[in-house]
Amino acid sequence: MMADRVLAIGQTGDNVLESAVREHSRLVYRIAYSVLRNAAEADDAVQDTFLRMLRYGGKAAAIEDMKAWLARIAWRVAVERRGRLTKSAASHKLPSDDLASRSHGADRFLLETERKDALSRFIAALPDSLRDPLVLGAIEELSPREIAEVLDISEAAVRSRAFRARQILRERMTAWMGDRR
Amino acid sequence: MNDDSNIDDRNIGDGNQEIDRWLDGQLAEYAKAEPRTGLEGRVLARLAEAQRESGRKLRWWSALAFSAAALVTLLLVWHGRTQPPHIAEHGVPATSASPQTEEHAARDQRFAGSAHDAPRDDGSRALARVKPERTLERTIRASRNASGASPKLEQFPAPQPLTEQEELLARYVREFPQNAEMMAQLQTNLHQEDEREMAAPWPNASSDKFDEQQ
Repeated sequence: MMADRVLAIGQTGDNVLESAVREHSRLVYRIAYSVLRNAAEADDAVQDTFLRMLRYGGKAAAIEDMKAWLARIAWRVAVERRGRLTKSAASHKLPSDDLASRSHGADRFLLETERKDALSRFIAALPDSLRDPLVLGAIEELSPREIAEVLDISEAAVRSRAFRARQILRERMTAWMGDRR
Repeated sequence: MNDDSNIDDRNIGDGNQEIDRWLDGQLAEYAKAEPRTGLEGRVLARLAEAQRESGRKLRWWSALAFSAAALVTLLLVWHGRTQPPHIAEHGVPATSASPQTEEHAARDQRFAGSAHDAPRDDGSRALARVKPERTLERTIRASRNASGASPKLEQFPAPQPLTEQEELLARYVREFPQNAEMMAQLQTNLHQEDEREMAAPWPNASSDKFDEQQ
């Protein structure tokens, strides 16, 4: 935070932008990936995020908490992209790298693969208001306060929604395992 | 019965813990996703390209605005030539001719009139041939003095009437204030952008090296 402020005061324009790219592009990517779960889409979302910052112009130098600001923009960009993808896709299932790359044929991994597929589907099926706090909460670089800023809700709401999301997932996974027995 | 329910609770608790573990593992996969190598370089290159593109667009729009302005100016010139030019309202302030000048002019006119009307002898005829020219010159000089070239003005420097080009520009601003404002804004933006580009060259080459080091 302090480093961000020093950066903003000491540098202007392009330097602020370049520093932000170097410092926060990984976080922006992770936020985008957690929403989109597709590497190519997340990559594009990172570029869109910094393009928005470029359009923000000289005002970017006055941003106090660059990390939180970028996290919010990244999340919005990713959610917009997810909306477009969901609309354009024939099914509501997003293209997912982790599902596509894990078609191991070995029996040993079969059950685990199926379980991951199911869990992934259940997470995707959660309402946005519950899924976003849960998914963002897993990103180590973001504190609950920053997640609350990104989602524009209180910290208490972040915690309660994440808790509720876990409850729903537990119930669904329990039911899924019961069906398989 | 109690033992059975305890065992069930324990099983459920174990099951929940296991599900939580799976869930954490799944979420960690999302959260620890690593971008492809060179993300920063790609982003910086894209930003540089976007900046160049916006600069090109700005120049194109500026050129378009200037062309439009030139066209409008030409139309105004053409229109102005077909009609008598409008005299600037805020030109020279009305300066009263000095009483002395008026007196001179009146005397000259009286003298010129009497030279024409009086019966002429030989001497006076010669005088009459010369005097009308002199009196005419005096009259012109006096009228010039009276029309504003007086050295005593209330305001200094003396406000000059607008030139033809200034008059056209003023008319353009009066009639198309939004266009004029846009042109001024574009000119300012262009100037600022040129200054910024001159001041800070974009570091492209270093970004890729940085990514490779990462």
